[in-house]
This record gives sequence, structure tokens and C-alpha cells, in this order.
Amino acid sequence: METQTRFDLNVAIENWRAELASQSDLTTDMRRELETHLQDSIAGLRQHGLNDEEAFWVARKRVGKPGQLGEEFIKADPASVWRERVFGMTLAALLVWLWSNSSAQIVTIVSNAISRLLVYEIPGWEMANHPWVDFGMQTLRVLVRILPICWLAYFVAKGRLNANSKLVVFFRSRSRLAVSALIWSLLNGCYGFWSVLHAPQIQSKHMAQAIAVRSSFTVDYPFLINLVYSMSFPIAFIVLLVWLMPAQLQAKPKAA
Amino acid sequence: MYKTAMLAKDLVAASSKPLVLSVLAEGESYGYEIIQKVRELSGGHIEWSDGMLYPVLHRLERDGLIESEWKEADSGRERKYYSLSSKGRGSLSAEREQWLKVHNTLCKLWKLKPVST
Repeated sequence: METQTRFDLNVAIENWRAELASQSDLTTDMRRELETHLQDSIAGLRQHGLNDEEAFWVARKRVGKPGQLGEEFIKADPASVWRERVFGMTLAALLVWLWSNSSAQIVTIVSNAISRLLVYEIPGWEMANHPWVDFGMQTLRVLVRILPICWLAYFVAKGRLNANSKLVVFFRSRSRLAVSALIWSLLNGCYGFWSVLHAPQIQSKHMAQAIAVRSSFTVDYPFLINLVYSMSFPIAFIVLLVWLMPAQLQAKPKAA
Repeated sequence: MYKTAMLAKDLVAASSKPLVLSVLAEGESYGYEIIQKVRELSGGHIEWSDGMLYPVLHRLERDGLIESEWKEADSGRERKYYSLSSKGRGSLSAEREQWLKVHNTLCKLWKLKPVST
């Protein structure tokens, strides 16, 4: 074999990791464990006098072909891969649900602020009736709703949600995941309820639309019952998430 | 050609459980170290492939015989350490009894000195 360019061990390991990541039968925890094994194996071979490149190829061969590894691993624990997949799907469902509520509220707050600015700063402007302002608001609404979800999907599809990513801050422990999801859900619920209570004073058409979306809130019920009702969905999902949470996401991020 | 130096495949599979449990009975360890230790102790006759050991470890963990934990080593590298659980200790003594029974029967047949149990 001819090697014109200098061998870079880090690049080689990076490529190996990507190859392993394409093996859908392996959970992230198994991949991480195999990677530490590869690193140990390389270190051991180098102590025996092999250079970086030789050590990498021998270690890689010893660990085995990714395809075969997947088969072997799945025999040992057939449910593990599915547990991780269901965790991912549940997390995605909760995030989309929470975001679809949060984004409506963010748009409401922003559009309200803009409409106030327009009404006070430019006298004579009927903001709600102006077609361009209306169009701009609708575009903003769509973008705020869709872009973060697209980004998240891209992030996950690229395999960036692992023990090394910054988002792991939220997964450090089961309690952290539960608390952060609960706070988000509560903020959602409280704001939604508050906005319904103040509905009569709202002049903006967008605000009224946002409230129509949140039809689950009615002022007839006491505050707590309303809150519990609106929280039942996220709480059920949070319980499921905490139960399914893969062990490797709880571990400390790998030291460089 | 018949190879006598390496253990037969069936025997490798059957002996992996008592070997792993026995290594871990001496203290917690990780995959790479377990393979090295078994290779060393067997004089190179038991050569586990790297990919074979992890499914064994995961199965033992699922059966509650061993426990695992990600820990940072002195070198700063993170590794998944395995340790024997109390259930695993019980399983090891049962394994030990069975293997010694087989061993002693063969010893008697081959007129070798049996091992005390």
C-alpha cells in the first residue's frame, strides 16, 4: 500500500467512528465502549514498537468488522437498540410538542411588541390591516416554528447527539432531564393560561389566533386543574423518557 | 491440519463465562484488560477476539452477574469498568464446582492428579 500523505491517527479514528456509526445495530454506548477498546489496543501496540499507522490497522482488524460486530452485539441484547430508538422518538415527540407551543408564544410576544411599536411610532398606521405587515408576521411565525425543528433533526441525523455534545448538559442525569423538561412544560402551561386570562384586553389579531391554538385552556376551570390537564401529556412523556434514558448519556463527557 | 495450540471454538464460548467472572472476582476491570489478562494467564492459548468479549460482558450484565460503570482512568481516558455483583459471586462458585467436576473426571480417566475442590 502506498501512502503519499502523512498518516493522521485522529483522522483515522474519526473515520472508523463514522463507519461504526453507520451500523444501526449498535447503540451509542456500545460504540463508545468499542472506541475506548480501539484506543487501548492502539496504545498497547505502540508500546510494542509499532508506529501510529501500523498500530491503527492492526487494532482495527482485531476489533472486527463493523457488520459482524453489530450481529454479535444484537445477539447479546436484542432489545437494547430498540430501547434507544424509542427513547429518541419519545424525546423528539416531546420536543416538537413543547416547541410548537413555545414558538406560538414567542411569536405572540414578538408580534405584540412590533405592533405596539408600529402603532406608537408611526401614527396613522393600522398595523393589523396592512397586508405587508401581516405577511411578514405570518412568515416570522412559520420560520420560528419550523427552523429550530429542522436544525434539531439535522443535528441528530448527523449523529451529533452523543456523549461529547454540548446538549448532554441536559442529559447528565435522569433528574436533570426531568427537571429541565418540567420547567419548560410549566412555563408553557403558565403562559398559556395567563394569556387566556388576559384575552379580553388583547387587540392583536395574531394574539387572538395564538389563543385559539391553545384551545385546551378554558377559564371555567380553576387554575390548578387547568395546569394539571395541560401538563398530563408532557408529564407522561417525561416519565417515559426518564425510564428509557440510555445509560451512556448520563456519563461524564469524555476527557480530551 | 488439526491445531492443538488454540482452544476449540465451542470450548472458548463455554469457558468465557467462568473466565470473565473469575477475572472480575479479582477486582474491577475493562474489556481490553480482561482480554490481555486471559491471554497472559493461558500462555497465549486462549485468544479472544475483541468483538467477541463485549457481547459476553453485556449478557452477563443483563443477567445481573456483573455491573458496569463509566469511569475516568488515571490517564484521563474514560473506560467502561465491570465489576462482579453478589449474584455473580454465587454464579461463579457454581461454575467453579461444575468445571472442577469435569476436570476431575477427566483427570481420573487420564490417570492425572485431580484438583481438590
